[in-house]
Amino acid sequence: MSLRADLYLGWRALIVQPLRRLFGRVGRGEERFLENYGPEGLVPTPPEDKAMLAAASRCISCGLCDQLDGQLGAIARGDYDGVSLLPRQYARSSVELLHARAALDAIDPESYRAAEAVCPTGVPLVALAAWLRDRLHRSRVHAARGATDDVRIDARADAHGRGGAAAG
Amino acid sequence: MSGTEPLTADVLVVGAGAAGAIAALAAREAGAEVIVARRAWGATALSSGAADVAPDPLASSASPLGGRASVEVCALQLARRRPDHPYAALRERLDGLREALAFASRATGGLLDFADPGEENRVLLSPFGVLKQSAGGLPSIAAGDLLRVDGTVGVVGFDRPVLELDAGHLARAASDACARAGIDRRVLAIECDLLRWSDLPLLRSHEIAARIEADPEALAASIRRALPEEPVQLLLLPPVLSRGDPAPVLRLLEERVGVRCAELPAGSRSVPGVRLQEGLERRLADAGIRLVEGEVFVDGAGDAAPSLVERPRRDWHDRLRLSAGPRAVLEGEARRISVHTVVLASGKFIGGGVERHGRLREPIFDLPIWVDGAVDEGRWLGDSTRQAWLERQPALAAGVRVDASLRPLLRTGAAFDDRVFACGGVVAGNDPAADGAGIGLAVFTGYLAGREAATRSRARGAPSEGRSAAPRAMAESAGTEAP
Repeated sequence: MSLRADLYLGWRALIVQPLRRLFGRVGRGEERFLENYGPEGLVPTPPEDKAMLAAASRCISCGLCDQLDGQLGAIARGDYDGVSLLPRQYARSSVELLHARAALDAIDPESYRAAEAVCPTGVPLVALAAWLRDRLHRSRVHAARGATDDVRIDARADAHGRGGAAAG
Repeated sequence: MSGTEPLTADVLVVGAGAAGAIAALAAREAGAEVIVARRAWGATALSSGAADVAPDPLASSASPLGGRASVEVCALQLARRRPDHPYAALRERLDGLREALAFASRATGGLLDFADPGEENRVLLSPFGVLKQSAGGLPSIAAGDLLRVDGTVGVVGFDRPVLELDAGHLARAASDACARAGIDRRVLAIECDLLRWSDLPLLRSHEIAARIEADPEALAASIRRALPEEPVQLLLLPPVLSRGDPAPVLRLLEERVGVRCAELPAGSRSVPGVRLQEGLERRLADAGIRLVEGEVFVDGAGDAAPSLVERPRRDWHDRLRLSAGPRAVLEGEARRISVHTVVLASGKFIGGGVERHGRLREPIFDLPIWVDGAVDEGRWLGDSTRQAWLERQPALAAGVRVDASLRPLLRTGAAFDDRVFACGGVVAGNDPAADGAGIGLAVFTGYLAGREAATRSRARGAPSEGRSAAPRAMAESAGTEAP
């Protein structure tokens, strides 16, 4: 390593970083993490979220729930392709969840009672749908924190209407 | 759900699939008051719509028809060949197969159609192009017996990958299979344009069924346009003709097209499976059998520390409960069940009759689960599976062992309890895919277990109200005379 590089690293470590810590905007680890990854949909997973993810992971992709899903066909197919996508896809990755925005805005979680009653592995579809809407809302808020003003406005609108709040 | 009022009956059947429904109907016909408790839908709702009893023992890919033995002989051969199979435990009772299958056809009001066990299996075309030997099934599917027609068979395609059915591939595979079996049949693919121009390329099977149900004339016209010049004797259609009874659609097609029509057995995402499940539940209601939703458990079972060795709950009788949800959460709200006898028809892994928590376990009575000839005490499941997918998979044959009265056995070989019986998927020894005995075995064991439970219940308790009226009510709803 050249002397010039050593001097640069020393300058950064001894002068710039201490001054930034004193006067700059640093924040806690979680805050910085969310600033970086929130826009990609990576939001914290508290224990209650983990319990719901475990319940969703019981799905065996049998498709029985789709046969009793009255909303399949009633919502534009490009947005929504059946309740089985909730445990099979959207619950597996919060990054995927951002793509489910139109579907989750359109569905009515309470309409999944009949489908939930026949699920062989007991996936709680009603609660899962409500939870996914809530998680999507959290993703949007985090995304807005690290994004431009117009997205922030969009997120605020979501939080006060348009299905942004947790259902059920 | 009331937490105080107990559910009272002579017989409790746990599970409402094919085994549970037939057990309940058999017990009811024998005069018992019956409650069926089901957690959810299980393997019956996912089944193909065909009902296999036993395949021909000499059948192979080189000789798909085998020796053309009767269904009865096929079951007997399976019992001889496989000492751990349920048919082996029931060998002395296999002559009751005829009675059981006839009962299933009658008690389900023709929902299931079985060949006489003295006759040979029907030969159906599976969705994978294999000749499948089956004793019966839903009438629309059982009607697709390739041996009952001469000449050319047409396989109708809808140009939809979601149906997992490519008519071209299926017709070629079926032609090869027929040639190997020495059946002189020409099989043609008939691709109709019913959905070709649809704006919804991802329509699911049951959605297609709804569309056909709403406008069967469109399907008939589409098939007429696609029919070849040469005469076709049988049309095999994707099993999506209706979400309910497909008979009206089949009749209309036969009138308009002038060719006999049948449905193929389903693959995954089965419409006929749901049709069968819903039909069985309707029959239970017609027979005056109460169907309750929830999970059955023995109170206090969760108190014991987890163990790799089963601890059968002999004290179940006053502790049976029904909860509306996961037992750990709702135990306090559970409803008491007061019955004389119990029929376990809880299925296997899908139905929840066999669970794995450290070891394979039967969740209600904690009965020993046998896999690959031994009681499971937590072995790695990979040891119970085989790499070749056509091979018999011991894990899929896991379950409780039973004696000739269908009473579950403890590891000592003694019966667990004279008042508990098991039937269908929860019974050990049958791998439905490799052994070729699925719904048929469920029907047979369900019939026997239901009658045993009713007899045992009668021996224990005073007759319940309405007992004498039960066979008459069932017979009337099935359109037959009371026995």
